[in-house]
Amino acid sequence: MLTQSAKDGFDTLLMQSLKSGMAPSGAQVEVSTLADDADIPEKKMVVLTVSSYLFRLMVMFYFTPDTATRAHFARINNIDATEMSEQTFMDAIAESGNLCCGILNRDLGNFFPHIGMSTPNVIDSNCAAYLQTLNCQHVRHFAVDMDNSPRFHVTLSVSVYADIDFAVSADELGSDTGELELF
Amino acid sequence: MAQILVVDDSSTVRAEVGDFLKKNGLDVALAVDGRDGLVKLKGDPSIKLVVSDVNMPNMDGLTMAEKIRSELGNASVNIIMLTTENSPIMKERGKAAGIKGWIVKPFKGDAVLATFKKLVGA
Repeated sequence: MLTQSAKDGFDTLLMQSLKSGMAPSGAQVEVSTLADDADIPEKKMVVLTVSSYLFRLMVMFYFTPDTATRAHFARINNIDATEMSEQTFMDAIAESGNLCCGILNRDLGNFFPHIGMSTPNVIDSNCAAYLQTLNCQHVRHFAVDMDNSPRFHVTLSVSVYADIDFAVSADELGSDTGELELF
Repeated sequence: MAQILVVDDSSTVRAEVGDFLKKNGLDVALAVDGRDGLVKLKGDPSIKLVVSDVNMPNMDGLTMAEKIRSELGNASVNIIMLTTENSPIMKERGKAAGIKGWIVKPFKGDAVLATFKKLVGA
């Protein structure tokens, strides 16, 4: 069973990772929850999983490979959108998902020490319709809004193999990313 | 001839880190995974610092670090991991391989530039 506190914890940690990982440095980011996936129009998605022996979660980052999306990822990577190759564009999207999920993976590691993350995969967003076959105990859809960028959508689904309960407090959010830890 | 070797399977990260270091006057070489990193390091004795991702195809960054010490016999090059991973187990494995430090992504160049320059003697 997944307690409400644990569901809130997964949601909170993912929302925090989206704020940190999806936007250009210094940009204002708003992350909101959606009632369902009816308003998610994007055709493609980057999928990553974070797994432990207690649960498996999937995070789906939806996108449409259009001009506005290309401009967003070009801006993040400080390059001209007209000079962005298809390979660079896809790599930038995958790395954005990788960074967000990496932050989530790291923060969940504070609660679940034995945890691992997949590499990103790009698939058709129609695949999301088969999520229920994973017997998910928790599914949540998010909208991510940033200045001068298209709205992005993200879905979290959590399947658990045991009773899970944990709580995330505001004090635990935020981290010392980017600092060099010397050994 | 390069001072720093950046190893990451993501072209986005290679460009971000590489461009930042070049703009700040450092000579940079790039590698796409640990296996490529070993080849590039072996071929360029001027490299003083390796900045590497952990999770990569073909050969991960920690295995590369271990092979730099064992197979290449290079005990002097500084190795710093740049990764989303923050697992104590991985850090311990890195320490055992003689890595110098650990940075949790995202990369914030200004926070590490002075140390990087010191490590390459710039």
